[in-house]
Amino acid sequence: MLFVIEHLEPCLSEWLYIEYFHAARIVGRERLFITNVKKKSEFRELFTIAHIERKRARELFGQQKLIVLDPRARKTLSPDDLRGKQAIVIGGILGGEPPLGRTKELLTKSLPRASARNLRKHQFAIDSATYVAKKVSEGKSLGEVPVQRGLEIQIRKGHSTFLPYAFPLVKGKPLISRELITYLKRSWLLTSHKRRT
Amino acid sequence: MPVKQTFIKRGLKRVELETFLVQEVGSAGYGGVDVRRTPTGTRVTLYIERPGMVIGRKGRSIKQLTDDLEKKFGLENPQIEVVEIPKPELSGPIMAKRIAFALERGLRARRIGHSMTRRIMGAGARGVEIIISGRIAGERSRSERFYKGYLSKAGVPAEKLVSHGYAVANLKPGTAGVKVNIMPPDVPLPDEIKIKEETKPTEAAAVAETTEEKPKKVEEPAPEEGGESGNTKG
Repeated sequence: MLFVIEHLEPCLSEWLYIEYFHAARIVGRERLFITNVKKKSEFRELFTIAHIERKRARELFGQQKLIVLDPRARKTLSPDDLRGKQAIVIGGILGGEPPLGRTKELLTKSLPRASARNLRKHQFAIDSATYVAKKVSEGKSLGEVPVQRGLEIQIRKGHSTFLPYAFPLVKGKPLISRELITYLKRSWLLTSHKRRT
Repeated sequence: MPVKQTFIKRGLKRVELETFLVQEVGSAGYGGVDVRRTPTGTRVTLYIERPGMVIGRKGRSIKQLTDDLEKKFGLENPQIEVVEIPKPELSGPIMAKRIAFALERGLRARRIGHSMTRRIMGAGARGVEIIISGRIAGERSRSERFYKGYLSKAGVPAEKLVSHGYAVANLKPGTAGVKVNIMPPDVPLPDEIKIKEETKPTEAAAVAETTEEKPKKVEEPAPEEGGESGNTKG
């Protein structure tokens, strides 16, 4: 089973890069495709972590062989859904809370013949969704993958950051990359636009 | 009308009133309202940072506000009392609005959070909690929480003693919410019990007590003396 992340954000921020990087670590470089990467600079940055494509997923794969993960899909993903399918498509979107339904607008509508499935009512980060999809592709049902809603990270004494997303639990601990924690702890945090200029 | 609906209606009316007052007198530093019914009408106490702005020239603004409250909210003969907040740093709504304003001006959330926490604690607060949530740095939305000191989270102290404030900052990436909870100084907490120290009477006080007690001793035992003496005799 291949995993496809369709890059849908206007620019590649550091947070987004960390999530892609972690997703690549979860499934392996050989099985991860990042599509819709138009900018040359982004292409160069992502080239080392996954297979990069300028084209969109609909141009690379047969739509009927795709499963799209969309929180607003009617059906929930199960191992049976993946029979005869080639790839699972995950939206490369940095979602907000409450979710705005951008995956449906930007991804699911562009793949009308693909099967859309949700990962229950949770909103996952890109790397977390990749992990859960990988577990389902290995034959586990969603109920067998424990999930924690929300994660509070202590930045320093008297200051914490709360991420209002779902995190799969691995050996009782939420799955989050070390790079993201380091990134959140950095005090000189700038916006992605400022960092790039 | 069922009891439930009565309470819901009251709550809604209060929210509408608060929203209206935030719009009308928000620029003067609105810190809360207290509405009480009196035999002569309704007393509306406004807690304001700069009362002069609410009162206006020759009381024009306050007259207009009184008319609005009477017409829009049906308050009987409202008498508005404007109370100045002595320390605006200890008022949740004012600080929330200040934080939202600073965010809109482009200051970084972390810097604002830390500096405001220091300022509020410096004003003498027992504890403070500031939560800024939304797309703060333009990426994923998250909540940044800054806290210091002691703050009641549940029960009557959290409802009655803590000053809660909420404001919205309209930023380029989206809306950010600001929540501020402040525990003011010198609030009587129910679990704080003070035991009075036993005061030792001074010599002068002791002498005064004995002189005061003497006439009582003479008056009271007079009828009983006979009985006592009878016992001793027998």
